[in-house]
Amino acid sequence: MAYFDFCKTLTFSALLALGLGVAQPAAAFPDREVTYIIPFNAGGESDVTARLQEGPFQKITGQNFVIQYMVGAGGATAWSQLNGMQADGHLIMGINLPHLFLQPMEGTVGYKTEDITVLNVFQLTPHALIVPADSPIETLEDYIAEAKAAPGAITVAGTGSNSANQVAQLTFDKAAGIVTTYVPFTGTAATTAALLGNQVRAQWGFTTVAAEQGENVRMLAVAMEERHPLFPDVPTFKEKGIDLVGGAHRGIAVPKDTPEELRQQLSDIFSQINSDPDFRSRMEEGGYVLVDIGYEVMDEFMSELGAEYIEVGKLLGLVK
Amino acid sequence: MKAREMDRSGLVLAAGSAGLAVYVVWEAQRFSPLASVFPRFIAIVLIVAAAALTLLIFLGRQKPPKSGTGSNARRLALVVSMVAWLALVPVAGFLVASLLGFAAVGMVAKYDDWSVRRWLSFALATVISVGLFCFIFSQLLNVPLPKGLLPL
Amino acid sequence: MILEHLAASLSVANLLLALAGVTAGTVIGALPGLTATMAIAVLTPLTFTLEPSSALIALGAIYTGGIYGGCYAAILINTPGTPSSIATTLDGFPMAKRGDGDLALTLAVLASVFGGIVGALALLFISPLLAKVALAFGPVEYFWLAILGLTLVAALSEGSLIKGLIGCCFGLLIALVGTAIVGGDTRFVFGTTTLLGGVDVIVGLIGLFCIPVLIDLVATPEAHLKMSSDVRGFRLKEALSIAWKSKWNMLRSSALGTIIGILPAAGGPVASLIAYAEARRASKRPQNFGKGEPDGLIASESANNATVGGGLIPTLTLGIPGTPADAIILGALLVHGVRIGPNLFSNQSSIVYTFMFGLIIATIMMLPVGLILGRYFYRSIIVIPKAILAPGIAFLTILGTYAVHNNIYEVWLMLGLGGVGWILQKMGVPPAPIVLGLVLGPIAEQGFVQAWLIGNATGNVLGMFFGRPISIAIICVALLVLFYPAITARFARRVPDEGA
Repeated sequence: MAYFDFCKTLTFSALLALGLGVAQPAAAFPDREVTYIIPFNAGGESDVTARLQEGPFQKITGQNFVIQYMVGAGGATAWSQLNGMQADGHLIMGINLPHLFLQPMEGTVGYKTEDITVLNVFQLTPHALIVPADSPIETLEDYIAEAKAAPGAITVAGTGSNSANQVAQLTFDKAAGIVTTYVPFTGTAATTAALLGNQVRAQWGFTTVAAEQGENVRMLAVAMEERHPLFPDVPTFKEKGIDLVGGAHRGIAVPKDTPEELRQQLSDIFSQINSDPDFRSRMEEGGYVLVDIGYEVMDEFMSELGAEYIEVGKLLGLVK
Repeated sequence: MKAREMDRSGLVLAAGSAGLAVYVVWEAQRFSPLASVFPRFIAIVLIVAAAALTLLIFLGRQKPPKSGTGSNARRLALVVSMVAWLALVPVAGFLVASLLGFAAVGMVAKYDDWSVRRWLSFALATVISVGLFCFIFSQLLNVPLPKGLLPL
Repeated sequence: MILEHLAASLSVANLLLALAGVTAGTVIGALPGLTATMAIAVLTPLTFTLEPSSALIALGAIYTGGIYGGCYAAILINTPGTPSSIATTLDGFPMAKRGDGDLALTLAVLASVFGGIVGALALLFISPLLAKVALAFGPVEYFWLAILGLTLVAALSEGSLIKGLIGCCFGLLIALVGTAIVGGDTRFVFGTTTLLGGVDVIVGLIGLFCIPVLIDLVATPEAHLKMSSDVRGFRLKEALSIAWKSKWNMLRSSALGTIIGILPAAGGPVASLIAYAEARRASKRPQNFGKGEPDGLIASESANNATVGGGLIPTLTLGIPGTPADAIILGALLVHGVRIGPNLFSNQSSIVYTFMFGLIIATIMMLPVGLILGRYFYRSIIVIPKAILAPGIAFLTILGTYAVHNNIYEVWLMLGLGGVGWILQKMGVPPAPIVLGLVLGPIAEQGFVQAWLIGNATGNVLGMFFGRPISIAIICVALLVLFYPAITARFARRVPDEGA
């Protein structure tokens, strides 16, 4: 399938190159390859998404991505340097929310949330509360009941401190009126290994973890408005009377001097990628949720989410 | 035992370690409890080790390390050339800075007299190795090498 | 049925891919700063145009070649080409220094191929069983594993144990720099953003190992390595007989490498260091370790290549990558549309088995590729005049460090560490203990804090640290490593130290 797509792309670009009258959809931009900087390790969610976006991107624009990695400090190394990079629309950088909100609250990370020009947010991985398949905890009610019986005794793994996972843990515990012990691990792999090995009782992760682990794990609930199509049997937190909707958003940003009209065009291209049926199905299979927040509504989106994360920052003790 | 030379550099090391340990303990005050356990523990080990080292040196149980041979002027020249090399990167770009840096370090490591042919082959080797590796890294490995301020 | 997959992986195209992959991986791994992980990350896009199983073979070949390639720089210029070959420098470089570089390189190939095959066979036959090991390792086990590794400081301190310990503490402190994973504190960053991400192990390796070598290289007109007047070829016969004599060492190191490779938070550097420590403990000539003992080199090289197969075990059976390089392979599989995880072996078994056989074939191909490339590298290092060798190494340190994160400030950091490392070396603190602390520090700290959190939550901190069977076993081994020399000395009159 992927190979077939590649052939199609190849033919398509060949036709373009020969100038055989195939109309190029997005005028003359981008007119060469686009550098796509991933602030996380190769093989992670951001990287896999970018690799999957490359196919549709080629179809739409006839250009390739040059994917580069700039790893460090949970993304801060890359984001703090973004505004100094070439601003001609041919350089984009992956971004991750809540990172962009929470990191500047922690102290000097070299950038402020409002410094980053976010163009398009295309994807969401919803929070999910996960237990091993053989856990005696069958439902969300069991979990809450056990935590109430012995406050702090439930250990729950998550990736990193002050991260999306810890945000979910704190928000949920506050809403449910329980206390649990959050144990931070390095990276999703180590976190999931700790869960599967019963080193911890539960894991705050994303729906992607459950999609990968299949029958090894049980999701107690997902933080979505409606149930995830891949997991029709898993309830949402809302159904259980707990107001927890959200997760980690991914999108792209550009250096601040990138011209206004190019910003809109790039945002449109990424929205178009999101509507590619093959891309959609690949993402959904992986447990991702595609969202479509374009440049035109970005200010509103960011300020709404920013206000929410101020509250989260208070929970984490980052904002006084 | 007394006849043996005292390990003076060891004393400097012990003093430096103790100083570093004190700094670490002082810094660790503002860390959260979980994040300060390790720094404090390491600092304590470091202080103990520094004290033990001092004691051993005064007891004459510590052999001084073998002193190095060779030209310290060349060592310094190497460090200076590499510092200059790096400083030049943002200005002249990676390629130009590396051509100059390569040649400079080559001069530091040059011991014999060269004929014109040797000079030419050195120049050729410089250009080829720097050019080839810059090409491989920037074009094949997608490493964005700094371009510098020069219009190249 | 399995033979069917073997036949599938033996197609001409796949064989050529394996050959090309091993060669490319070895060359990239040989350059300091460019790791196996980077080799895979860079070459992955090229595989997107291939069939999934061929792509996997190519990736596996690049990976195994990349881990192996690290030994060239380790042996010839005392700088680990990848973090996995830290322990290789300890005996490899002294061997090269005394004129046995060709023998060291040939031994490294043999050990790597052996280790790689052991790892790959474990992957092929006992994956599901070994995957359980990965899961049985909790935070406290990681903590004790790191402590076991840290006992190696006794072996790594040339001359003065106390100075080695101080060096190790320096390394542990360097490892603290940056944003703490556990707790989220920013520590010792001095207000810079470059240090927020911490000091990368590779930056530390290049600075601490390579710069001091370079500084002393230019100071004298003598040749970098001792030259041998007669042409001795690969010295394959000699190497084979040494390898045969240390077959138990090779087997033990490969088994250790496989098991440590399985652990998602450990990987090649830890595996080779611990295998080295074990080889030294078991050796009849422990006093020769660090002075060019072939057994040390064999232990390190067989262990690090065994981690390739080992690391793929949780990757393929659990969807949990054992090493950063495995994470990239996992990502590449997802892009290829192969669903990883518990069902992979049953649903898409043909791809998986083709891949495993491909990995074995690639590992075997490493033998000729490694012998030829090794000879070439050795010759080049010996023949190239100092006026080109020195700037060449200097250039590669700068380029390699820059390429780690495309960050010029890290090159400054590398140079600074190098200067400090040289001064420390003159004071009698060798680089190896510092790097040991740098590699193991984060594993020890995270394991400790996580175990403490869990133990505290369950109201049994002591039981957490000292009550779990695997922990107890690791503690025992650590005690054995520390006190074994003292114990044996009590029972047998100590053989006079040859070195002193």
